[in-house]
Amino acid sequence: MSFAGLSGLGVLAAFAAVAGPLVVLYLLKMRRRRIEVPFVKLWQHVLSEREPTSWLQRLRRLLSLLLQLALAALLAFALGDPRMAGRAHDARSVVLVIDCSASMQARDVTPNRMAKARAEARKVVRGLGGADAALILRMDAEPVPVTGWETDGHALERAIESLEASDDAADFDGALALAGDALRGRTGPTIVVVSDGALGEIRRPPAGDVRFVRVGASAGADNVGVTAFNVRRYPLNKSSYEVLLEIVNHSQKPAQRTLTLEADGEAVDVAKLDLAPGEKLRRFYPNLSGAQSRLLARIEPHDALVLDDTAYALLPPRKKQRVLVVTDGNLFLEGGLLLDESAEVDRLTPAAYATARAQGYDVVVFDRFAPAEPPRARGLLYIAPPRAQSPIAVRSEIKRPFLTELAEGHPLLRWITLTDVNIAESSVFALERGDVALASSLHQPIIVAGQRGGQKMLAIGFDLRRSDLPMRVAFPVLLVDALDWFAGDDTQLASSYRTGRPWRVAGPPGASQVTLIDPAGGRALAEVGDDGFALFFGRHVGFHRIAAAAPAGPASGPASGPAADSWIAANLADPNESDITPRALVIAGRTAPPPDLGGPGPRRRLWALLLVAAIALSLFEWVSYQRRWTV
Amino acid sequence: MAEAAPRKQDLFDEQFLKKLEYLAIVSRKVFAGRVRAERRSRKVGAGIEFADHRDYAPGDDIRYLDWNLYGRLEKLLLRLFEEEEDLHVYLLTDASGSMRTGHPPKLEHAMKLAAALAYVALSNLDRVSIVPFGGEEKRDPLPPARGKGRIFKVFNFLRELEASGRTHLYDAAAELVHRHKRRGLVVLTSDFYDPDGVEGALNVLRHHRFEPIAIHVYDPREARPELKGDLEIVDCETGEARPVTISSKVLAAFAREHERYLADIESFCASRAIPYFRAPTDLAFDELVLQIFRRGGFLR
Repeated sequence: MSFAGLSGLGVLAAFAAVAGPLVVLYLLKMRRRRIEVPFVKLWQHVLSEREPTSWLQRLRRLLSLLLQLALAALLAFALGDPRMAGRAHDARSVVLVIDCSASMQARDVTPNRMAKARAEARKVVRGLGGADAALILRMDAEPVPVTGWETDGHALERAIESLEASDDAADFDGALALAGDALRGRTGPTIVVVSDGALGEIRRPPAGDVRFVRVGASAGADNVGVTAFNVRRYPLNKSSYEVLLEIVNHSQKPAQRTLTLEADGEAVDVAKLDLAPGEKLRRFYPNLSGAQSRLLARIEPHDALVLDDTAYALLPPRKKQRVLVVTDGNLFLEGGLLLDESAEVDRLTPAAYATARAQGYDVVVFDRFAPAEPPRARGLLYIAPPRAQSPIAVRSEIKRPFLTELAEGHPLLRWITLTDVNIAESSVFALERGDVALASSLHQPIIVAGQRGGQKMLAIGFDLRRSDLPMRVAFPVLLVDALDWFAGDDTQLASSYRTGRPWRVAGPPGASQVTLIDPAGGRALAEVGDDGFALFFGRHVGFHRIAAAAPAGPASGPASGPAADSWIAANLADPNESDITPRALVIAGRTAPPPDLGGPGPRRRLWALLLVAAIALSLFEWVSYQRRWTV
Repeated sequence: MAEAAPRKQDLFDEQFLKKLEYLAIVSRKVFAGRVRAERRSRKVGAGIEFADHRDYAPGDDIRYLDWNLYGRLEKLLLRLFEEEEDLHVYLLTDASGSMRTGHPPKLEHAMKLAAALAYVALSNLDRVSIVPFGGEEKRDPLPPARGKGRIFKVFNFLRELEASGRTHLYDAAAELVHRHKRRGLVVLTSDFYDPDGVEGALNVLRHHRFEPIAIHVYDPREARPELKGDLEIVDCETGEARPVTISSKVLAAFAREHERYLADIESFCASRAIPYFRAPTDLAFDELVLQIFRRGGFLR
């Protein structure tokens, strides 16, 4: 037996603290109340008939004392919260993994799978033995334990009741790894998974005996869901956009649905869909135009899982940029800029340049020139800046460099191939923290992107006229990418995010922190990194607002004014979660059996029983006193 | 005690006097036609009405010999006449410590009874003496008084009574018979809480040819005291203490014992032809006095 409340010593101390005074009081002669009567002789006659023998009297007093001591012992014992230890090999450590993924929102059972899972989990907890300890693990995209190792059934059930299904997918591998860590070094390791079973096969068996409680009904688990919904503007025609939509019928029978595509609340397209069992339908909507920004795809009628019947996407806003080119004349450069219809280009010679002249421009391009003080524009493009005035320190000069390292994932190099570019000579830049070497020659950066004081900056270390880059297709694309990057119009930014994944969200210009406000009003705060992005772990589908939490200062956001809120969209977009057909859990080729937790007797609240016994004893003591069995 | 004094002053108020007068009238109606109000004794001599004969004994007054019967029967017989005499009524009243108990105190009840009986007796031209007892020291009695006008003297005497000391019924009775040579009626009003018993006292009265009447004063609540738990009971007269544990069963047994105690005394009185009356404190004194009259114990 073990004590969950007071220790054994504490129980003894509590008992001694009460029993000591009790014994002392009993040893002391009780002072009786004196009552005057007219004639004691009458009482003597009555009492002589009923006078108990002295040993009986002593026994009554002893019985009274023993009753009081027993009462004290019961209460002290109850304070100790004793637990039946059982046999050591019977004690088990049970990690109860409860699936809280999106599929648990399915209503194929009443009222839904999550409620059913909670009920099943409660059954498991109530079936635990007296010596068993359990830990509740919530399994969604980010598995997390919601209790420590608990032997208190009420605490476990309270934790179970607090669980709700999320909008994201289940990370079963992560949950098993977490369970394995929690079970390490514990006796009787057992993992009980309560789920609808769309968890995939586990090839490597986890530590511990895995049991499975399946939730969900095979009949009625039909679901048609939107598994992909993306939209993007055309890079060179930002007034038009295209939409990709993927719909999957996860049921075993044909399904008819009505698909509605809406833009800012107006129907763009309505189509009747006939989906074969298991069919994956992709629809592509090219050359859509309009000023809308919010797109919504809805399939009706709703089925068992409503969550994936609606998908959300946001169209990046179109941005017109004013560009000032400070050059003595560079046709390649000016011609390349003219290709971007969203750019409004002005030209100025370096001699005529003054900082005030650059005011009001979004982007300033310096060709073989660099001012002493950079203008307050959103983006600055330096081409072959003079060494002395270069905003990015020039480390050295290099003859005939050839590009060996390219930052291919960077948005500035999207759709660009820079290999085999011939360059006569170039400056080699010294990178600062946060700078990215887009192109390097034997690790010597010659095209660098970075930020200085909240301004985006791209520096090309060589004179365009002394390379064949302007002759290549890559050059105008590089200019378009640069203008998009300066504007924050990164076409690689997702038009919609997937729940249960980290979301890389562009922060408003100049903001050091941003707040993500989900559709339900929940808020999450994140720091904006040097790259202007903040990371969130997104959990809810729908449109989310991004609000600047704290402006960086007056110098930031030169041409953008106060930071405005922006929006992002998020969808489940997970075919595994949309497939809500209940499945068995297969571990290393073996189907996980249901839990068998009929251990060493049901979990008993010994302290409660002790308390009841104490109350009963107290009642008996009262009755015995009233009847003069005790004194 | 501060509260007891004014109560005692109010004990014999005008209302009380009215009740006494009523009792005196009722007593005459009850006994009208049966006997005269005055008490008669069979004595040789002084009377007018012939009553009986008895054998002559040496020493008898030969003037009362019936010579006519001697002539006819040749037997010496003495003529007896009923002689009127004053009745002496001794109100032997218990004023021991136990009479202090009760609600109202038993002594108050006993005092009212004594006052009522005294008034009736005085109204009937009897001689009334009040003899209180209780405690180790002798208490002065009220000397025999006669006539209704002496009732206030009786009241004043009763008002002065204080309940204290132990009960010695035998000593009180013995003292009475030795101090008062005139035989008479002895109304013994007491709770009879005497450890030595009541029998000796009544016997000594009878043996000295007094006519005792026992009036047993008690408080009904004494039989069912509201006690519970572990107590130490103390005798209010003797100071004797005893630890007791009171339960409902003990209380029931005590009630039976109390009733048995009363019944024993009543049985003894019945066996000795002594009129016995129970006088619970919740019984109005005038009702009790009427009971006594109806039973004829007060007058022969």
